[in-house]
Amino acid sequence: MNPSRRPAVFTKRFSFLFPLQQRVISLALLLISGLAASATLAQTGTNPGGGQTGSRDEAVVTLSGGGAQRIPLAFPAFTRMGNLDGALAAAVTELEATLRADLDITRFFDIQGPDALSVLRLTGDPAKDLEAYRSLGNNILLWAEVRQEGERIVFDGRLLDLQNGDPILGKRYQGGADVARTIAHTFADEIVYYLLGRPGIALTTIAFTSDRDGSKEIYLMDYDGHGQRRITAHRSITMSPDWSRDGKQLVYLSYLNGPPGIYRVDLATGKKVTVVSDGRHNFSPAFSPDGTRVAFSRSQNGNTEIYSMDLRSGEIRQLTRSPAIDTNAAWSAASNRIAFTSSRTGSPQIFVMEADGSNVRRISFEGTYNEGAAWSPDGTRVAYASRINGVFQIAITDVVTLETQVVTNGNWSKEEPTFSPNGERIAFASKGPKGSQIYLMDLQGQVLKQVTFDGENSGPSWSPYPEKNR
Amino acid sequence: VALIRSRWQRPAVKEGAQAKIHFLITKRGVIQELELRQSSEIPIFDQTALKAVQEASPLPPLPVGYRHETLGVTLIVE
Repeated sequence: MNPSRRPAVFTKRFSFLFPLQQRVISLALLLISGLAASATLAQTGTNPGGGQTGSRDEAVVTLSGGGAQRIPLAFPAFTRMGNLDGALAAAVTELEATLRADLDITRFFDIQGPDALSVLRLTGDPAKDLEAYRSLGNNILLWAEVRQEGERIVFDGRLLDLQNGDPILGKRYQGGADVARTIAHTFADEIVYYLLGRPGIALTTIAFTSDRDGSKEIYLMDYDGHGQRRITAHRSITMSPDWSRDGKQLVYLSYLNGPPGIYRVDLATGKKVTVVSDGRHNFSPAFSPDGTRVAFSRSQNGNTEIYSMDLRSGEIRQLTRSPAIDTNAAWSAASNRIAFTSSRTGSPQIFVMEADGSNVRRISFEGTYNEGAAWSPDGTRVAYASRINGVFQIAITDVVTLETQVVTNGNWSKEEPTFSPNGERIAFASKGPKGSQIYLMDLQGQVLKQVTFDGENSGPSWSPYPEKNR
Repeated sequence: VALIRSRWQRPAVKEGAQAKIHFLITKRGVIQELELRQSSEIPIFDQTALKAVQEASPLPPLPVGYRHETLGVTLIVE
């Protein structure tokens, strides 16, 4: 269905309300009082929409701006239909907790869960409880029923408009206990997409480096820190993963053949191939947006420059030429530009260049030590670690205006930022009393979650959206 | 308009969302023929805006000297 053809009667199905009403009244008053002077006023002889004839005035008014408001959401406990076997019961408990966490970490909702709702006298029939839920200021009810069919969970999730009980969204998922989290993430993304028009990140993945099994290896985890799994076993220093835009491969560096070389892994098959291993020091790889090239740093004769290599032909181009260290390439999928760290002006600073190495310009001007750039998905901002009073903090610079904000503070260093594919979250590594661990935060620097705990963990790289969400 | 803007609480939808709503205000201030002319493609955005207009009716009457039966308004919400 083309949404623009949705008839106005749809309002009756979907009537929860933000306080636009007062604004519309004052707007109309303003409009009417300013009638004679309004520049946007045009007299029309016909009604362009309704076919009604006879003249009248037409006015165009724009209503815009304002801060975002969270959506009040009632989310009572799942309704369990009949008995659930032990393993499935545990999976349903996990599904429910995961869905709550997914919706909570979006910060788009004011969620009232079972505790908040316990003050209400509820019948258990949502159709009869609309008034009760509404009484706590909620607009929407998330109602979920689960039952067991054989060895499978059948999950029915619905959003109901509390004004009239009409369904807004209904989804059914089923599967074994092993997909409980996936069901929760999928439904959470559906809710976010349906209500807010934004793709969710609940099904995304973060690659990172950990030494928990002995040597440093590459691992993956769900965006919320669950399902941590090792994907390399080189038994050598292996680190610096970077995603291909299709989410199917990673490039990384490893010392498995002596000096560091660049390798890539196909995540579906686990197959690993050598990209560059020539006896020189090659490191800090980054996939090009189209996946045909890899940028990397190479040190020889005491100088480090950035190169890019065609993955099919093996052709290598030198992108930077300076006697200083040029490293840590980050390739923007949106602009095809490369951000990197260079000490060509003395201390390390962030620079941006075109993919062929032309048009190099510095973008970081605050602080004496800036490194480790990551692009926002839309290519407008670069996040990096900026040393302030001897401690690295995460700074974000607008690449056009060069406006810079240091978004974190505190005594622990925070480095290696990576943006979520929706651009609303940053994962980073922080060294503190718990060693080096990975955390998620919003762009204002509020830490939302610690996602690693075991061993030393660093170098996060956030995946693109999974294929089905793109 | 600046005052209105400063008081507007926009649902937390993505940047760039825009809906066009059209309606008529009768001389007595009643809103008629409310319709969504162009969807933002975000249901919550469209529907809250439409609902707000709907519930704002009736508005104060149009000025006595107003020369037509109705005033057409295109409200661009973004």
